[in-house]
Amino acid sequence: MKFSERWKLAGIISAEVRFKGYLEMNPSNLARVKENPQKIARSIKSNSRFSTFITTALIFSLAILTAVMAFVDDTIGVPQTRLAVGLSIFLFLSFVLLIFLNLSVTTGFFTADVISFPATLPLSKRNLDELSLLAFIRVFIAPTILILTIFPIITLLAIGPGPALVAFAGCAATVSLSIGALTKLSIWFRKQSLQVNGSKMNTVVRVAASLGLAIGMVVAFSMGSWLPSLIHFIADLSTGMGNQGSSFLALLFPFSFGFLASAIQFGLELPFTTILAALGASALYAVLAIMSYHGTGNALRRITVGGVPTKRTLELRDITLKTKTVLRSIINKDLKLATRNIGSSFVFIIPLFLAVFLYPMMAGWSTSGPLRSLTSLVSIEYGNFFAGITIISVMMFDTQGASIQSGLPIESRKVLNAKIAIAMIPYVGSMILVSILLSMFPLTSPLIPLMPLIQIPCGYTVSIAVGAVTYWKRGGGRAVSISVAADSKMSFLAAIIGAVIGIVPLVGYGVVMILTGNHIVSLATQFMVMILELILIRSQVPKLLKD
Amino acid sequence: MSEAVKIVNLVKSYGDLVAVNDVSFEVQEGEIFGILGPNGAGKTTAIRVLMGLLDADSGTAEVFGTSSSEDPIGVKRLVGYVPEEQQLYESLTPREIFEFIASVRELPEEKTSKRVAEFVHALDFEKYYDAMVVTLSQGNKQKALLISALIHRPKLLILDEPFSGLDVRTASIMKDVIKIHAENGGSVLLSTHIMEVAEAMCDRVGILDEGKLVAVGTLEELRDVSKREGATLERVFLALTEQEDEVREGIDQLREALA
Repeated sequence: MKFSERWKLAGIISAEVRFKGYLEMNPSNLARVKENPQKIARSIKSNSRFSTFITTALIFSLAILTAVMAFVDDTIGVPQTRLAVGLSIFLFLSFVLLIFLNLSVTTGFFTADVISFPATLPLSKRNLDELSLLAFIRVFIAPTILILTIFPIITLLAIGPGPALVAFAGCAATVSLSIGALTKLSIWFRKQSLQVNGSKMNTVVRVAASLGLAIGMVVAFSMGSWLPSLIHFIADLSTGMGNQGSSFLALLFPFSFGFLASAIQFGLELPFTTILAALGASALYAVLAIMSYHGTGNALRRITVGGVPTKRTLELRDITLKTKTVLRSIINKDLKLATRNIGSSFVFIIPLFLAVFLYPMMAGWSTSGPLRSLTSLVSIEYGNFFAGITIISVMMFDTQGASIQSGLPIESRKVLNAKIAIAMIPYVGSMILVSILLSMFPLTSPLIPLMPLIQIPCGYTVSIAVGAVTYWKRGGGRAVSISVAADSKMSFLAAIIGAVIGIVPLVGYGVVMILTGNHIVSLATQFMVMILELILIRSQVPKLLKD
Repeated sequence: MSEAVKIVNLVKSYGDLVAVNDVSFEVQEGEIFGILGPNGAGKTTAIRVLMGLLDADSGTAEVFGTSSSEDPIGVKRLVGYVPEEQQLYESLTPREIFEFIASVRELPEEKTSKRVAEFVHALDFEKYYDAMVVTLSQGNKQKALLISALIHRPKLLILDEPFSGLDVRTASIMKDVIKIHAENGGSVLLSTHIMEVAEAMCDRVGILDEGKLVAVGTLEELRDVSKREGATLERVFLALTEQEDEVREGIDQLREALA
């Protein structure tokens, strides 16, 4: 089979993965797919475009930022170190991004059962391996192409063809190695998340795995804010360690490619041992990348055809059921679902995500004097933005259980209340963390950290508003589940609604502060406006819901 | 005998496509009623409207006199529903799902535990009771769905394509469950495209084709309507949906292709 034919077939398989993934994440569409498949197909296309846009923008901005620092910023070491560290950091970021941006998609790939049909065709095992890998790559083709092209092109234009070629080889090796690591990590995570033996240790491992991976995603997404410090740190480290240190660094992936590119451009301006180390290590990593390419195809085929093997408990404990109140049972069920899925557990680390994002911002602003209430307003508003996404994410938990949910006599309002209770956990955590972060810097008034604490009940207002609008728009008022990944438009709208509703009490604070300059009066206004808004929105919600 | 289900002049469209077109039928108490039809005939849509999961464009749907559009929660209290798709909470165990359902339906703990225990033993489900749903086979998932639907002793069982993809043993269990439920005075509304199942189990059937109810009645009544004396339900179905010639042509073409 020619490569072009395999590529084409892989395209069909990856389209099927997206299609099945979309249906899996939006089970309410399953019934409609028979009647109106065109609408579902259009929906998949537009969501896919939106996701591609977000990923592309993220990688593009990171590549540009790294390239600017590597080729233009004179404050970082000498040119040869800048080039080596700049390329290495880009490769490292690409490695991390490819893994964490695609982890949840990858676990979905295993359940899609899409290689079973090609496996019945007269194709060799090797062809099937390659087909699995190509289909896998095609699912996230946009970031892969970007990683393979953008930095090498910038290098070509800024420096020349030699380093650009090394940059390309480094990018290709990085893509291959990260896809290999991604596959292994996904298989391991799926094993962990599928095994339930009722022991506390098993739960701890599963929760830790989910949170660990979710934190990894946070780190990947917030790379932009840490990038300048990271490049400075590595460049200083490399210079400070001298010749031996840089030679040691050149042995490590992905620094070997960075130092090799630098060696090609600057020749013997780099120590000979460093050049030798970079050359040898790069060759080794290139071989490993080729092995990873073949090994990953094989692993993917085995998993997609045979499934992930898990240890399953066969001992029956006892059959006695333990019941709870309706609200508590929904919350309990959602908490269990949250700790057994990477995407779901993400909502609980939103406070950490905010802290990682806000700390550098506050530190930067504090260099020009004590922080004012504006810093607090901006930080809280970020929290509101995430509150909208949080409630949608919590609604997503039900995507798995549509067959159960559709037959149960639960009022939409009760479902929404349970979701709000869970969404409040990260919102309260976020506001407390913002308050703590503010307290760590010099402030114009000691009352400023009270602003996020007073804002806490607004998490309820944001959640109830976003939840009700989502049910209204997507289920005609009925409690439906939507997916953050598959319904990007609704997620975007949720974030905007969260930001708009959350800003109203803050505007109240701001206006009174401008008029009176008094923090206590401003805080009281913030509280009053928030309560009024809560009462108003709560009274409107029943108009949007339907059972 | 009162009506378990009453659907009157039901219309439901998706854009230009009329999925259910002016359909009316009743299911009597204690009756097993089958909706037959090819894929895309509108069976699932009609059931989803009856369950209050979709709004009808016009017409009414009721379960034991409770309106599906006005009181869908009331309808769901009376019904045990097994939808066509097996969308269970994959990362929960059947035990956790049953506990959730029992809590939402506010069922007494002791009685429900006893009932679930009986189901679990009868369906040979002990080994899978504490295993994550994602690791279960299709047949075992269907068993979990069946227990979920029966946990509250529903008066009406609605089963949408309950035999799709089931192995012989699970299909046989499913048939027994339906029969026993009806013997105990419960009503059953099931949709299927497997004619043998409908012929063997249903007291009456309704035939849906392209959203329209082509015929409704007992097998004898349908034979009379289709003028196919002594014919199997499959023959009657093909005659009433005017597919006999089409099928015959298809078989001729297949014969040539396979020769």
